[in-house]
Amino acid sequence: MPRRDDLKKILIIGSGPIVIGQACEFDYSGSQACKVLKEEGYKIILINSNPATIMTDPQMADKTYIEPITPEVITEIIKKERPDALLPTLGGQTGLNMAYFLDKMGVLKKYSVEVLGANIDAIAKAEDRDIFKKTMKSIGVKVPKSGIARSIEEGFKLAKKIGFPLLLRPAFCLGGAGAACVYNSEELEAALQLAIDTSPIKEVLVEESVLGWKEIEFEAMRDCEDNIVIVCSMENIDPMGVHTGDSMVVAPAQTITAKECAKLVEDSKKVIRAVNITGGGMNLQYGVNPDNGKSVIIEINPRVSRSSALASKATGFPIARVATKLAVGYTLDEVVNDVTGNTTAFFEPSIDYCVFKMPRFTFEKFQKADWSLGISMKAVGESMSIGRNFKEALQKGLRSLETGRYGLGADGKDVLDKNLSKKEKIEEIKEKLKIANADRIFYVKEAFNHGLDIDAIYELSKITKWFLSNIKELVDLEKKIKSGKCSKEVLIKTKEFGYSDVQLAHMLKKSLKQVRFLRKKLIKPVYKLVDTCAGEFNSSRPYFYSSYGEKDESRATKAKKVIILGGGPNRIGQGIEFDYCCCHAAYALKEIGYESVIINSNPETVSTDYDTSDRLYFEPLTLEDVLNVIDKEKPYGVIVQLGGQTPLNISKELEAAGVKILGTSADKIDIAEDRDRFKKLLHKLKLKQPNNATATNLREAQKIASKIGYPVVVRPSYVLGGRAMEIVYDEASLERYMREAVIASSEHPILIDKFLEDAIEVDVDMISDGKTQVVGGIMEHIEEAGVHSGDSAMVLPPFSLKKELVDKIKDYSHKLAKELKVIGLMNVQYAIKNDEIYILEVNPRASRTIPFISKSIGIPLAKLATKVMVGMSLKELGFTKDITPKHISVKESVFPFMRFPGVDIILGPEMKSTGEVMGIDYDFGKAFIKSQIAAGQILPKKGRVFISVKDKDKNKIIDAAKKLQKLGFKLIATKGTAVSLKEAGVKVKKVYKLHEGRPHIVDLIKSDEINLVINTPSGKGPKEDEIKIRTSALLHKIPVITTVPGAIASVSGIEALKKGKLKIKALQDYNKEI
Amino acid sequence: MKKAYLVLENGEVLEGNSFGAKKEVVGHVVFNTNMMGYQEVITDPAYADCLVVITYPLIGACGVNENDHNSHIGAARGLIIKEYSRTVSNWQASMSLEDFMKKKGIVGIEGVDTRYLTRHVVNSGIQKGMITNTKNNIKSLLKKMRQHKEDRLYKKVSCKKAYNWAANKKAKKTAVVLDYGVTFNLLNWLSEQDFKVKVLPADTISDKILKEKADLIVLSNGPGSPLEAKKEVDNISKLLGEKPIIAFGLGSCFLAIALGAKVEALKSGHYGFNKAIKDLRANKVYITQQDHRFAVNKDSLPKETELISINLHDDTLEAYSNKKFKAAGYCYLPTTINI
Repeated sequence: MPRRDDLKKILIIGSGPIVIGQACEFDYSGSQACKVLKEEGYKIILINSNPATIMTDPQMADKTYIEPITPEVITEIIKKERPDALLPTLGGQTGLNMAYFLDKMGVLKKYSVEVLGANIDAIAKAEDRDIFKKTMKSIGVKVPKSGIARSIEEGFKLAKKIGFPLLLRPAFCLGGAGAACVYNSEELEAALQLAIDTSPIKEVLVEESVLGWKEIEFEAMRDCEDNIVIVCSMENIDPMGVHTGDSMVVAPAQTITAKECAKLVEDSKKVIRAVNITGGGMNLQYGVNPDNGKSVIIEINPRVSRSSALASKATGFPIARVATKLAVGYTLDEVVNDVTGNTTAFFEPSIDYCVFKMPRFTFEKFQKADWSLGISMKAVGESMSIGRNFKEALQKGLRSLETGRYGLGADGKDVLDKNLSKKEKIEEIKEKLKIANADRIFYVKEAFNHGLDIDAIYELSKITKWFLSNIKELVDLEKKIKSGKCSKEVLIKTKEFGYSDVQLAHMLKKSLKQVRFLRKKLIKPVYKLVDTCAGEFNSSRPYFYSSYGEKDESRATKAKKVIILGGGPNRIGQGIEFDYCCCHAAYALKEIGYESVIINSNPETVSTDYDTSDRLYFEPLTLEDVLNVIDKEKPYGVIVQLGGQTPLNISKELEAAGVKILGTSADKIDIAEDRDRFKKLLHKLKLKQPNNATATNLREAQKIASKIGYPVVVRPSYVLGGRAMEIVYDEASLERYMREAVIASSEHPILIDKFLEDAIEVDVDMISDGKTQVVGGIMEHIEEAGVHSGDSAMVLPPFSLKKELVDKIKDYSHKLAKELKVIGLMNVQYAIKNDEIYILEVNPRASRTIPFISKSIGIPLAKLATKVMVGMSLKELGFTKDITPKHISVKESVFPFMRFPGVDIILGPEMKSTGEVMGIDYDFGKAFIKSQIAAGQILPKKGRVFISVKDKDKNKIIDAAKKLQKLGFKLIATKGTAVSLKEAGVKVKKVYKLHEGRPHIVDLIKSDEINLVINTPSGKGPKEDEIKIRTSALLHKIPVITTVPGAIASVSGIEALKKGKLKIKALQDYNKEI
Repeated sequence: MKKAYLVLENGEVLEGNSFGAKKEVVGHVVFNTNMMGYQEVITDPAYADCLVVITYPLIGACGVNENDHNSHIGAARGLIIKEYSRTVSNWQASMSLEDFMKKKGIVGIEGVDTRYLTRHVVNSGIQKGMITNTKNNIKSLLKKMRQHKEDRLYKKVSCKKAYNWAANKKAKKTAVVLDYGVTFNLLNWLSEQDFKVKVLPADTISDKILKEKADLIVLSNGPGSPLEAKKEVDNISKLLGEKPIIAFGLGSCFLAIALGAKVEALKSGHYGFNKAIKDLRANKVYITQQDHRFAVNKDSLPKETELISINLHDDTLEAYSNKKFKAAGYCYLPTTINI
């Protein structure tokens, strides 16, 4: 059918910052969309507030707006750019919601903007739970019993009708935000309140729970001629009751028959027609009763999703790419399947391997968080793995997670505490089987080891027996090995079952080196192709996975090539920013005539798109798996400095194995990481660092802390319960911390550093080719030192530092890069106190701020770094002078606190943010307010502000308070703060603290009488009352500011907001000025 | 676990483990890309002369149940897979796949690199293979393979006595099916198209067929080659023009030959759920399930025959309709009958 020639300009809405439930997969789909539209000759207007994405690279679109994603801002963009159409289906829930609201506001009609891919009705049919239910009923597709509640009373009425357990699903929410499973009427009220509050339209579906049923998913596509293909089926290993994002998933579905599948497919076709997707994809989720095959439809997403990214990587079929082609009018059979190169997209992939997806959690960062998994998503990322059988895929997936495991156990780590009695162990096993949790699959194995059989485990977990029996096969094999029966055949079998050499070494009680040597003599891995068609057609795309015991299909060329090691699954601290760098490395290598090979295990990212690099190996990033690929490819060199910590963890061993590491040498990297060597380096360069020392027990720690002087930052090298760095303010706290949180010994020393209070923190990213060093960007943190740099808001260029300090920082950074013989990128963190500059940390690798800086200065630093790593000079690349842009860029972090109710929102030295946004403007206040809006922190223009700050801050907050008063805000404060403000001449009303009487501050927050909270923690450990204030503000969607500099910046932002409308400007236009 | 070997016509031997029935069998090595539905495949008489390679590596998780059989008479000769799943996790299962295979005499070999085998068939074409329990004396095994002859298998898998298919008792129209290895899928499809169905043995002569006075004559799919079936073709020729005829798979090849057209072997066959075709009349595309390895040469059909659909990938003919005789042939089950 004719592709839409009547359209010239298309607006794409991105998904914004990385949050739980909406992450890198939308950069993947958005980038594919941009590539397609560009190929097709359309002009692309793009809005996305997330600078850490490939899609916001200025070459991806014609006009890229890194601005807050709000209907108002998009309206401005539409006014300015006049696009003919809007493509909202590749920006996650955000994209859809924006389209929906713009439609309701009349903007789309006013400016004649057509919605492509899925019309507004389609969105409503899927997201509005009431319309969804009615639509399903009208086409004869069964839904669980349910009703819509818009109030607590309605909710209770429905609960009575439906019965417990039941599920609450807020409308228009993503990743199950606000959703809950309720078991009894006691839990109902609070759960209903949260659900209603979370839904943007204040509607909740109250639904019969089908806990324990099989969960089957499909990814389908439909074009404008009503052609439909089912791209992939998936079966969740965790049954209904756990959000698909938090579930272990297998593709294709394993335990439903062809006829059962055909029925679900028939239903899916009815649904996609009823919802009327006219050019795009849809995700459908069904519950299937394991005892009688009855099915109900649970949820649909009329857009590309996390599942479609997984399905695309699992099958090789590029859903987002095809969806974009369909959106502009092509039919499925008109789109080429460019994985085979010789078939069309009108095709249902057949896969000849097993795909396993494992979610990645970071519960250790949120200790108070509930570790159970439910229908509100908590995972921050996922790994995918491919094998020729489930066991292999499972074990590869577990070691892809980078949680220190090398497969399903047998690797020296235990989920069970050795010191428990047998009875206690079985109790724990039963609990951890019954209540879904991140380690459940390990407990399945433990259950077998402790005498439970498949039926018993099934009864407790409801995990389909087929999966359990596969795990039993692993248990049986291990028993064989333990009993000494390790023949050649058995060893080969272990490799076919996905065991790593590390596990073999553990089981055989030999050294890893020995095992590796013996094993390599016996059997080596082979690489098989992912080709969408199970081998039926010839395939041109080299996308591989490893397996054992079969014929090799790899296509390593003799050309000069570089292997890029990716970052693995997304997690807090290491995510899309590093993937951005790896993609840029591949693009750079292409530009200079090298072949690029990517190894990564993350299905959500652009780096694992089959056309990012010349060859893709979807493999765990462990030493063994990486060396296997290196053996096959024999690269010119390997890049380890762009994938975050993951590749660096194995770089020494890679070098020891004779692999050429490109860029800064492993030895120099070690200088930056080894405390003693680093101290010597700083001493040599006459640079200062905060006083520090190492302790191996409590007494030593106390001595050192006293000598250095409190407060101190304590960093244990071995942690209990996941707690790591903490700022300690006095001896009693140190003693408590050491007792509760750490194990100190000579093998596990404690690192103690002086904590520089009230210091300004600065991040610098450098690029160096060994001869020339250039500063990429200097970023001043808004929050003081003490907040992890990944969580801080940052400003480029610095907004408050004196010129001499900035010049000194530049000079020190140059010196460090030179001394460390950096080839590639380097990041330095400084703290400035009383005009003294201290070095906190040096990281000779890409940092997570590289994409932000690159967007800001208009120079793709990661690309340049890659070219430098293969030997080019910065001179020939034309980048020898640092750039200070005319505009101001603010990077702000986003946090997942809403997913972990009860967890305090105070920031500290342990990173907690999941993603970032960028605000750009010529004025600091305006740039800052944009960053806040983009991050979802909607600062008020008027109303009442609550202020309660610690003693040290009472003076510092006065200016901000005065300004707020001038801007027309009414101020409210607790006793101490109120007194000091009054003394300074600020009008302020006093309010009770929680224990002083009522109504107290939380009462005011709950009755929506407060519009902004400024509350800085007292520092000597979090106080219960303060936590209550902050968490209730969060729940009531009231913005909370927890640092004085943050407050000062926010006030400038509010000022800017009140002065006038925020202006928009495309990145390409900012870059022209540089 | 006992060892088993797959010996290919080119002398290559693939090693695996034996499961299912244990005997030596020779057949055509074909690959099927269905990720589900192995039960329908191994009970499809079209595979009676085949050693079927299933590309999806994990087979058996749903066991075998009483509802999904595709026939009771015919069965695949051999099943070649990567990994046999010993645990059954589907509520409908009445027995394990292996037990069923033992019952039906289907020989299995697991542990084989099925992807390599599939690529081999794609590149070298369908050839004979043998599943045996020894790799000694390959030369004599190859000789056995070469000398192995199939004799009109479609007769062997046909019903011996006519019977009625009771799915649609209220149907207005009647159809008779010449059973060359008919599947229940086809019989149910006919019922859905509103036909009362009677199944006749393959060797029912034309007079007897016409005596049934059915509204439609159906020629079913089946195993083996249509190339040396003079008797069947002559029988069908006598039906041309007497009643509307619709033919599938093997049956559509017989029909084509009866119409004077040529039939050729497909290089690697069409076996699987995801074969994309283009309906030339409606200008629409469809995804179809196919199980055949012979196709009609589209240039050899008589003039008044319309080409209905072609395979989107290899351009072979998937359906035709002869206006003169009101006879149509399909390699898949279309959504409606439109001769």
